[in-house]
Amino acid sequence: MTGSVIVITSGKGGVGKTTTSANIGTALAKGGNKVVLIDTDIGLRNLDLLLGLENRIVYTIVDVVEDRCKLKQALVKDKKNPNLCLLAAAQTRDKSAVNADQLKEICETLKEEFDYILVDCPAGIEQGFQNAVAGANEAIVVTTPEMSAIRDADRIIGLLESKEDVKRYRLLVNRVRPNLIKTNDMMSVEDVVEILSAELIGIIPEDTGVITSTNKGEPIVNDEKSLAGQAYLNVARRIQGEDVPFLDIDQPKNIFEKIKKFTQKLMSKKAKAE
Amino acid sequence: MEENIGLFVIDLSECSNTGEIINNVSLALEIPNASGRGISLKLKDNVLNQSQILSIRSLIESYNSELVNVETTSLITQNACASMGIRVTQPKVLKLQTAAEDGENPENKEEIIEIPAANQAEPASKEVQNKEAETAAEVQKPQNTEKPVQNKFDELKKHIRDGAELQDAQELPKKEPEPVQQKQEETVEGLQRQVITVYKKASDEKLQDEEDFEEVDFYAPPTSDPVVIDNKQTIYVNQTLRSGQTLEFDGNIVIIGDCHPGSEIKATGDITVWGVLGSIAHAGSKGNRDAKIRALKMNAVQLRIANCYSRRPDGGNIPYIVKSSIFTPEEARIIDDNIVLFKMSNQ
Repeated sequence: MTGSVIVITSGKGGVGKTTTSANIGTALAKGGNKVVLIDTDIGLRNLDLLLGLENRIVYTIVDVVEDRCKLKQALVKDKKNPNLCLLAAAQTRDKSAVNADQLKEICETLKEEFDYILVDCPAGIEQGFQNAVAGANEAIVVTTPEMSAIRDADRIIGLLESKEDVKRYRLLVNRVRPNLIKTNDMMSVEDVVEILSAELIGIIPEDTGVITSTNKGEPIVNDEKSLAGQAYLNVARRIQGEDVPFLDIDQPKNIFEKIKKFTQKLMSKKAKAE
Repeated sequence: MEENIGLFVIDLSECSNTGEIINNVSLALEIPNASGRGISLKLKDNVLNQSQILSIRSLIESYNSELVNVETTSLITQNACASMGIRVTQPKVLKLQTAAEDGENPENKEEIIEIPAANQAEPASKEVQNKEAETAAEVQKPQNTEKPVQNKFDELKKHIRDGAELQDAQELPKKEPEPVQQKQEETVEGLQRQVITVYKKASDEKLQDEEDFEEVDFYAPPTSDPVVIDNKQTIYVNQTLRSGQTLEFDGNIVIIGDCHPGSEIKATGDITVWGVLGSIAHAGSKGNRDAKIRALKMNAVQLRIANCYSRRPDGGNIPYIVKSSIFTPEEARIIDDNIVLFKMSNQ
C-alpha cells in the first residue's frame, strides 16, 4: 500500500493550518482511512492540543530521529478514532533538530502502512517549511481572504512549484465571512482563486465553534451541526477523489433572512422556468 | 518635612479615594530614599478595608520598604491595620481620647514604647486648653501618639462609648494643624531613642536573672537523635519555567514559581514546585522509585517517577481551575507501580 503525503502549508501564520490539519485528518479517519498526522512545528507544537492528545505524548518526532524510540512507539492514537494517529513535535527543541532527509524517510516508512499522511507545516519558508515539504507529494495551501495571507500563499505556491515531488497543490480558503463579502468589505473566494490561479479544494466559513473546539481539544468535524465542520468533511471527500459541490456558506441567521432567501430562491426558479 | 529619621512619612490627607492614595504612594516611593525604609502613611478619614491596605502594603514591599505605621481617624481603617499587625497612630487631634484611656489603664502605659515626655509637653497642654472637659490629671499623663496593636480594641470600645466626645474632638483640627506636623518629626526621633533604651534594659534584666546561664555552642552537633539528611544535591530555581524550557538535574529540584505546560523537569531525586505544576515532571529519572513530586497545585500533563508513568485525565486542563486561588498541595509517589497523589494538608 502506498499512501499519499499531503503537506498543509500557508506561509503566513494564524490562517488555520493546524486547525485544517486536525479537521481534515479526523474527517479522513472518520471515512475509514488510516491517517497519520505529523506535526513539524518543532518548538511551537499545537496539533496535540487541538486533538486533545497533549497528555499522551511520551515520544516525539525528535526522539524518533535521534533513535531514542521506534517510529511506532511515537505514534499517539486518537481518543475516539483508532484510525487516526499523531506524530507529535517536540516542544523543547527547535526546527534544526530534524532535517529534510530524516522527515522524508519517516514519510516513506509511514506510507507503507497509512492511507494518508498529513504534514502540518510551520509558518514561514525556512527550514521548518523545507522539512515539511520534503516528503510530500501533494499540498494544500491554506489562505484567508486577506491581502497579506494571499501574498504569502503566492510565495508558497511558487516554492511548491519548484519542488519536483509535489505533484499537485490545491487552495483552501479559510475564515470566509459571507456578510463582509456582500458588503464588499472582504475579497470573495472567486477573487482569491483568480489572484492565485490555483485549484480550489474548499471554502471554510468563519465559525465561532472553531475557537471552542480548539479549547476543548476536539476537532469541529465531530460537531455535525457546525457549518465549518461540514465544509471540512467536504474537503476530506474531495481529497479522496469525490466530486462534491461547494457548500453554500451564506446561511441565513434569523427568521427574516430565511424568509427573504426562500422567496429569492422561488423567484429565481420561476424566472428559470419562464 | 517628608523625611524623618526613622520613618518615611507619606502625606495622603489630601486624597479622596483609594485610587488616588495608591497613585500617591507609588509616586512617593519613586523617590530614591524611600526604598528600603519604614514607611508611615498619613491618612485622614479615608476608609480602607483590609484588602486595600494589603495591596498598599504589597506595593510598598515591592520597593523593599515596610509599612510600619498608619495614621488615620477612620475606625474601620484602624481596625483593619490592627488586625494586620500594622501600628496605628491617631492624628494628634484625637489624642485626648487615648490619653483618657491610659488614665484608666495605667498598666498599658508601660508597655507602650513612647515619645519622650519633653516632646509632648507643648502640644498636650494645647489640646487641654482646647478641651476643657478633660481633668487636670489627664493633662499630666504622657500623651500617646503611637499605640500598640493590642490596645486597639479597648480603644475602639472607648470611642463607641464616648461617641459624643469623639465628635467634639473631630471639630478640633482647624485650630492646630501646624503643631501636629512639627511634632510628627520630633516624635520619630524620640521614638528611636526610646526604643533602644527599652531593649537594652530588657536584655540587662535577662542576664541578671540567669547568671548561672551556661554558654551553649549552637554549632555543636545535636545530642538528640540525628535528623536523616538526604545527601543528594538540591538546586533551587527561583523562576517560572515556560513552554519549551527544560530543567534536568542529578539531584533534587526545588522550583519557586510555576511550571507552564510544554516545559519539562527531570531530576534523579525529588521535585518540589512551589507554584502550579502544569508540565511534565520526571522524578527519580535514574530509577529511584522513592522519589516524590510535590506541588502547591498539581495540574501536570504527565507525572513520571522512575519507570512509572501517569497522565492527566482528558479534559483536565480547564483554565479556570488553574487560575482559581484554591491551593491544595499534593504529593505524588509510587504505590504498587501506580503513581498516586496525596493531599498534603491531610497528612
